Amino acid sequence: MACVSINGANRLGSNSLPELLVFGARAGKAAALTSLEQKPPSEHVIAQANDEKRRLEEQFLRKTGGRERIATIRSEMHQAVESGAGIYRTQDSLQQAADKLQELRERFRNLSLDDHSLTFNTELLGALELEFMLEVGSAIVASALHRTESRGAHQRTDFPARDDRNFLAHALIFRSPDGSARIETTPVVITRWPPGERVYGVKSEVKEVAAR
Amino acid sequence: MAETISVEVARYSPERDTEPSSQRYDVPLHKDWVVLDALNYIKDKMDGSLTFRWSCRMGICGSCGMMVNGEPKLTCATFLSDYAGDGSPVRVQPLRYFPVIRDLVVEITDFMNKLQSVKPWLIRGDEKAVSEGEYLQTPEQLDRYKQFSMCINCLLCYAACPVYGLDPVFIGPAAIALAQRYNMDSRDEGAGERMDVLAQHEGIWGCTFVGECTKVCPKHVDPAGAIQQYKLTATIERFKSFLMPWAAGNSEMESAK
Amino acid sequence: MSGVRQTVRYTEYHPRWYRTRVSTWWWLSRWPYLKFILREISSVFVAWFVVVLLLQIRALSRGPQAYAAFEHWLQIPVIVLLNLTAMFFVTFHAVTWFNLTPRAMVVRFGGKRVPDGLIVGTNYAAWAAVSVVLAWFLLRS
Ligand code: SF4
Ligand code: FES
Repeated sequence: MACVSINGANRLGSNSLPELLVFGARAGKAAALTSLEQKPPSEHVIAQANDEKRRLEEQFLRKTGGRERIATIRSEMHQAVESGAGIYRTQDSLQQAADKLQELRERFRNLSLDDHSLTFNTELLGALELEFMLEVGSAIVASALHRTESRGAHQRTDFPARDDRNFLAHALIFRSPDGSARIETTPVVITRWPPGERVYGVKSEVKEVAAR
Repeated sequence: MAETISVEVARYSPERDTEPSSQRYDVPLHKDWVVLDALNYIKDKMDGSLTFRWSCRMGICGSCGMMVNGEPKLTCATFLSDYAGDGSPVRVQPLRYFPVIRDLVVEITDFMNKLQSVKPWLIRGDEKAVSEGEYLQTPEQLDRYKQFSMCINCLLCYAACPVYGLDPVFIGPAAIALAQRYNMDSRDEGAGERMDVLAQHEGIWGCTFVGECTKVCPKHVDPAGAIQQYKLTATIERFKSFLMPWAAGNSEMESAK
Repeated sequence: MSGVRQTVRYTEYHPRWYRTRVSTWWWLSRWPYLKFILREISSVFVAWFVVVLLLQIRALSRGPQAYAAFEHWLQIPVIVLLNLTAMFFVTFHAVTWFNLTPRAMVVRFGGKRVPDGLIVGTNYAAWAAVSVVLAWFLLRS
């Protein structure tokens, strides 16, 4: 997600928007500069790009007769992630979401599009987005399953306490060759603000007074 | 099944068609559904090839502007139920006066270039160093331009403007309103630079004050007002530089802040 | 200037985009457009009033006989009809412009924008005042 770590592991509210604008612009510039310095792509890279193009055409643009529609899979995905991996999560709910996402990723292969046009094909865009969302969704669920503690917007009702000893760490997710997720962690560097307890209402006032 | 309503949508495929046709779909009529909901229903359930732009569904991104029964509207803020009742279908067409790329999607590079040409950003004579802090502004100073800053670039005002339709070189309502947004900003010093683009025939003098842009604007920006106000400013500037060539510059616009 | 021209050229021609032509009768499609065209046409009648005024002054300067002839001319039905039409258009012109003034003139007083109604109202008040003074002059005798 939009975690460039200036706001912590946080994409609440509108923090993510300025982050996107600032870091998007920087990333874009850097990418443009880098591409200027590159040698022209080798035959090998071009062949790879052509393969990918062919795959997209075969899987989406030229394919007919699939049984699934984008909208059905998308709304089932919404439903699964919302109920299984919302703010309050448990081992069970997450596992259900993981299974459902797995099922949806399989059904996705049976997708077919109505739109075979090469001009402004928003349905193709929708399909690619959906494929990515299914993958990102699975990654979110996998890391939530892995993180058996509660922290910030990640509330495991079966593990209500924060566990700095094991989980004061960024989770990095890698795709294994079989498509499943492999999780590694990298430690968090604490600079000025050590993690504190998140409390609301009267408790937060007490905390403030104590801090003074 | 609930009540239904017919939606008649313009279709145009550059690969197949020489001119647009229209296609009719019957969609459920829910009390809280907007025209965009109907389009998405069609795309999701009936015909995935229907092509249109949208994003926020809340009148903020400005991408869902289309002609609904001949009027420029944000389709995410236009209720289907307002068109129900007389049994005739709701007509949805691409924004008027813009070239159509496909179905309901129009080509807006023209506007993007015009917007750039009026330099819609803060221009300073000399920038101060970051360490010197922010450029401050009072609530009254903010109030001068706030209305013009609400623009979401939805281009409904262009689709309402016959001048733009007849003469596409006209810079047009939103771009001028946005130029004025910066001209009126107490932190800006670029009014003189913008004048070259604004005070010409393609700029404010192309406007004949039809006033429809202001009426269709979903954000109450009042582009027509911005243009007329700028006409006044430009005229005064013109006379000033004629009478007192030594004092030419953006004195009038600066004092208006 | 050239900036705008150049950028427009970019979208000038593209074989695959569909462009609609603006119909010659576009101004009949909506009442506000028609109103706008009528307001533009009204300038012809404003000019006509100026001509009548000039003719009147010329007649005046040529003595009572010429003025009587001028008055006689004013009573020809066609001219009466023309003047009535002109009267209608000039009023239309004045009213529509008065109603538009607050858009063009932002008056601020004590940091607040003066409400539109007040600006329009002041216009009408000034119009009424001038008319009263003129009427007093003309009807005095
Ligand atoms: S001025 Fe209003 S109608 Fe025009 S682009 Fe901006 S928000 Fe849309
Ligand atoms: S969808 Fe964003 S303004 Fe309508």
